Amino acid sequence: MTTENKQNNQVEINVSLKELKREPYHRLSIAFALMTVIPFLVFFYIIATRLFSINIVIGDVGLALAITLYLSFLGYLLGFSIVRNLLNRIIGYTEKIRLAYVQLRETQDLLVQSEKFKAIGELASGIAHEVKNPLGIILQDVNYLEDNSPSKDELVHIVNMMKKNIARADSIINTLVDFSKTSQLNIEPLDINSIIDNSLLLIKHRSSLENITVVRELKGDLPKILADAVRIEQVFVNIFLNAVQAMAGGGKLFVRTYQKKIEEIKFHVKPEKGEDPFGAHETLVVVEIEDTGGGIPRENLKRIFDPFFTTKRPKEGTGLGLFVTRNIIELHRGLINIESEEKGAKVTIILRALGG
Amino acid sequence: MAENIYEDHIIYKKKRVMIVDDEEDFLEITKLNLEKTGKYEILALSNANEIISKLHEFTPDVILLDVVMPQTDGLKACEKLNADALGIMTPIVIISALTSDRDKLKAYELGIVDYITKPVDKNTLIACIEKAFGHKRL
Repeated sequence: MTTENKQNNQVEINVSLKELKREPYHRLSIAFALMTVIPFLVFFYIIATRLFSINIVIGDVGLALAITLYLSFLGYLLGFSIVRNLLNRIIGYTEKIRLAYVQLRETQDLLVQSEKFKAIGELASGIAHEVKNPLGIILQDVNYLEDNSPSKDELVHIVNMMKKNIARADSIINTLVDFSKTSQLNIEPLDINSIIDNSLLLIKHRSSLENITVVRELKGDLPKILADAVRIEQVFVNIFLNAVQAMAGGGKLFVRTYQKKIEEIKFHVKPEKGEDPFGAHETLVVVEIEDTGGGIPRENLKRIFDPFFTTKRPKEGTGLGLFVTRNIIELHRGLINIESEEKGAKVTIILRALGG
Repeated sequence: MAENIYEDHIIYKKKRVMIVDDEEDFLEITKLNLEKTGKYEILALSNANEIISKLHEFTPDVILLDVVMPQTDGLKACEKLNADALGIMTPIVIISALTSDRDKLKAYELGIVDYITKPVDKNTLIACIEKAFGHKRL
């Protein structure tokens, strides 16, 4: 589903709401005017003829009152039919809005899916490259075993090399399968600070091994966010591990959370296509993760979210961590940005607050 | 007599192959496979940062070069070689897991003599190396 179609749905809903606002009130006001003005005019006519001794053409006061009551009754009947009509219309509009909402949800799901497919497309060439490399090693191993009579130690070494590269290709395929799972996000209201604490717990062993001090500056009473706990935890663990690897030998890992109104945030990186994902006056929850490592060179910063872009050795990482991280944040309709000067790097994640 | 010595030198001189690839397992097993033929002397480099200095030390007859490598990638390494008097004379064979025509074209534009894709069989690799020996870039 394209963005254009999504916009059309929005337009349709806006128009319906506009009609709903305007039409019933308009009809209602006519009905009440008829019900009150007609009896009033008849009564006024009778009083006027009495006061100014004008002959009543139709008959006496009793007849005039009967006509008044009759006209009032007609007015109420008319009003009733209009109200009934109005109720039917409201029910119709409610159904229309419900259908439009269902359609919008379907469109949103399709958009999420198409984002995933786009990401998988981006991944495909990288996957080919990353799987062909271990295959290349395995084929050379097979060639060696075919043409030579290796000693036992040599044989063990070659077979281990083959196993290691089979496992490597397997892990790349598994990552792709994980990523392409069509299951929807399991969205629920979450406390971002608890998620961060859980993620810090998962990397505690690694960070203490590397002599890294974690500085938590988490603001209390933050509004909740609507997110998938497992995926968001995956995001934080990825970023924390990158920071830990960047500070091998020691350093400080700062983790900050706070809330901001949209107009207070200065975006360093606009999302693709120049679309601003947040509405005006929206309340946002911001997470900053800063390390004191060696920093990221400018040329690498541009490609940091590209699939399979890595500066690590092949066995240390697949180059998919930040690519997957960015996709998870985008599925939550949030933003992620990485800044780095000469030393250290700062990752900023911005998510919508619930009800913000 | 002198002619015979010269001929012996031609027959028995091992050809020098420089392999540049960040995949250390690939470097190790390819080096082993090529050395076992008894025809080649191999220098294996796990990055292309020092390709020019190593080129002048080792003076290879052919360079096998990977494309995707951290820091200096294979195409940047080609540019460096093209700017060097010895580098521009040395045949380059790209050996990469990148398979698209666009990737191949970029490499051919830099004057490489062949582009082979991984996974590659040992005999095919040897055939490509042998073909590259006779190839003069200039």
